[in-house]
Amino acid sequence: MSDKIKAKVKELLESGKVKGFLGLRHMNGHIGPYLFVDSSDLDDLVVGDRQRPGDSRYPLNKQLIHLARCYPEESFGVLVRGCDERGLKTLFTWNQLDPEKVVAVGIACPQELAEACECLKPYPDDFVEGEKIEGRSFDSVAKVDSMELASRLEHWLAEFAKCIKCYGCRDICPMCFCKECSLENDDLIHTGDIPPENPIFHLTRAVHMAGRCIDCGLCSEACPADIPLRTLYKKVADIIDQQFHYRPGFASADEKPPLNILGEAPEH
Amino acid sequence: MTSKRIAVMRQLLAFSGIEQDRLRLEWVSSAEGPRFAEVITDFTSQIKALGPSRLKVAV
Amino acid sequence: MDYRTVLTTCSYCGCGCGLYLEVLDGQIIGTIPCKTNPINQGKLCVKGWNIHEFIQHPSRLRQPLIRKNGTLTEVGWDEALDHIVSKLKEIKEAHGSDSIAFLASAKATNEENYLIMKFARAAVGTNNVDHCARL
Repeated sequence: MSDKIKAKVKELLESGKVKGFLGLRHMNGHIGPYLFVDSSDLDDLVVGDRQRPGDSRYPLNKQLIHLARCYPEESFGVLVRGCDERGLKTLFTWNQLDPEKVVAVGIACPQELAEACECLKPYPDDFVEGEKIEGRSFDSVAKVDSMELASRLEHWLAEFAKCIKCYGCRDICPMCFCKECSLENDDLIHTGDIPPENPIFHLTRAVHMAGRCIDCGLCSEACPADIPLRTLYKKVADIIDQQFHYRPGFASADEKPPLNILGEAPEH
Repeated sequence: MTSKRIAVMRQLLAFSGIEQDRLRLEWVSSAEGPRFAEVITDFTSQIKALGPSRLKVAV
Repeated sequence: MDYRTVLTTCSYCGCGCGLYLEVLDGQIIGTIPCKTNPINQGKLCVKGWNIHEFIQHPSRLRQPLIRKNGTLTEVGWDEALDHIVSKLKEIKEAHGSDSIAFLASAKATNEENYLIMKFARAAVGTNNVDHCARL
């Protein structure tokens, strides 16, 4: 299911609207990120479904930042799902990408993926492939919320205790573009100590995801210890939405995140 | 800004299983000695009532 | 502009995690774990995540070094190998085979590691062989 995407990308490349298209390609028996510059390569373009829908997604937005930093004058196309589009919008807000230089080619996610992700909006505003599926609610968050306070602490301490401090959650995160990371600041996190301080390490990261996390779930997928990081960041997004009526990627790109501006005092 | 961050942090603490009343934000000027004493006394008794943090026991 | 993602295998230990190196205009700028690799399934450890850093690092060794009058000096391979051979022989004669140990590297291939083991046991006559990849 990528014919319409292929046709769209072919048109973008051949008209010269974009210098290249960042998507996924089937190569060497694997699915990996690839910059298409020649429309003859498009035969191998895929959307990242191998055994299950969306099981081979990559942080294309993050790679796009790398490209845009070196070639700020060029325009690039990029494959986006609902989450990636939220990511693009948020990266525009944070001035990491120029909206004039990015052409998003959208795909709507199938039901199975939307359910697995508990995605609020499993489709971009504009998409050329797939069908619009209703969003899902955050059942994983509700499950933790329904626990007793003491069990919640026990739950998270047990999960965080599995951490091997690989920094994979940060390294894969399309929203982690900072040059200096708090998780490497010795005043906040003891660098070189394994395992990391529990729960400080993960709560520090959770705080930094406030007003930023677009719920793509790549962190959970990259975690070698299967820590349900996505649930934690989903909750953080809920808190920000509830307190400040802001959800990254749903607001317009001009609207600043609540923790970046003074704004109004929170509702208690 | 601080009041916004503390509001978020209190909810995050609750979600992580830590009593949110262990974190409080108050504004006290350097000219308000008695008020400072009052706030600290009140907060101390509040924390004592909550008892030792399970986090401390767990870690 | 030449941007590629090159599929390769992590060279830090024997697990063999699959990863893509992001290469922009000949410079390696990043690492992305391979989702479809059956070994690591899109995950990496902290070493793997930073593997792009050592490849082009300015302090990476590119030439053998021999300490001459207290300073490490770049030398050719012939001189380095002659030096190693004469020193190994000298130590073995003076203190015996077990005064020598061999430390193999995860950055070498399986076959090369086999060879260093064989060299230690058959040529030098010691069982003092170990490997750096004890994670």
